[in-house]
Amino acid sequence: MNRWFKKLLDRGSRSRLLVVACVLGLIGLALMSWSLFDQGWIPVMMAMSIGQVIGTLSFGLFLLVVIIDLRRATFRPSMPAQASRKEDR
Amino acid sequence: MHVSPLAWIALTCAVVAAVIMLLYLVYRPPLDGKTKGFLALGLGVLPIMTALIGNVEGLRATEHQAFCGSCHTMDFHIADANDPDSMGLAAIHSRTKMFGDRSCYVCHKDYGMYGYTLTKLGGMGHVYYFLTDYAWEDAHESLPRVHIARPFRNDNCMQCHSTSGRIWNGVPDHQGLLEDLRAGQTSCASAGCHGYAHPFSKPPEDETEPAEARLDPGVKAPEGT
Repeated sequence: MNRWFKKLLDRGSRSRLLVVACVLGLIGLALMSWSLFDQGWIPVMMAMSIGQVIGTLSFGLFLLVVIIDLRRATFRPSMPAQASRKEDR
Repeated sequence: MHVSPLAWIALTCAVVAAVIMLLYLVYRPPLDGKTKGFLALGLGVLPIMTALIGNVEGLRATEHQAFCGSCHTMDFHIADANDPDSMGLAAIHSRTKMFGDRSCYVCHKDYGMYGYTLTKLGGMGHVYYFLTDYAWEDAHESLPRVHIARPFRNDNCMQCHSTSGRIWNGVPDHQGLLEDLRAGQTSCASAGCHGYAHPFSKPPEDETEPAEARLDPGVKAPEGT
């Protein structure tokens, strides 16, 4: 599991992850919106359980993409290296 | 169907989030800071708003008759509660504004400190029983088997009927049973007193018998009840 996750972080396709996140997000939103119109027990329970789990999963995938981005980013130091002083030479 | 203003806000958030996600799926823009900002809105902020408001609305929905009545096993109970000719306790109370279309919840909820949570947990129990048993029967088949999980508490009646008013105490039966009623030893909603809340659901012999719905089966009914 750990190795699989590390592999995902190192080589995972960000755009594919985002496509999955968007599809899951749309399903989650549909379930959550359904309960706003039909307040029977099935829509309300679906919204508050499955809908929210799917929505959370979708947001989690987005955060994963952000983490992957941060891991692959090359940061330049904000301060230039201090010039060596004369007496050090 | 009534959609509250709060629900419209949730729906607006959901629609905007859906548009952002659909635009991403259709155009697949490069993943720069701007795209990520929009996606943070579409996948994070807006759906979270929808979920939070959806929770508020969903929990509020569980207090209405429409929610309780959405299981077919409750069809007869809801019909009786809303029957203008019914003289059952549920129907009498449902006709008042304070109970109205929330009558199931107002009578059956737990009024204790953790009442809201306990009521919801009880509701989850109903879902379990419905899915594992009652869902596969029609309302006529399940009617004789539907029963309250534990005897109805007088505490719930006493949220409105304080048992301390002059008129209430002027009733001889109330006076004689005052301590028992407050302690929950004798149920207000029993055949010998005010009758069952949903009398149609009881077998005919239960309706005429001066039975006591006792919380503690070891305690005998006082005479004259």
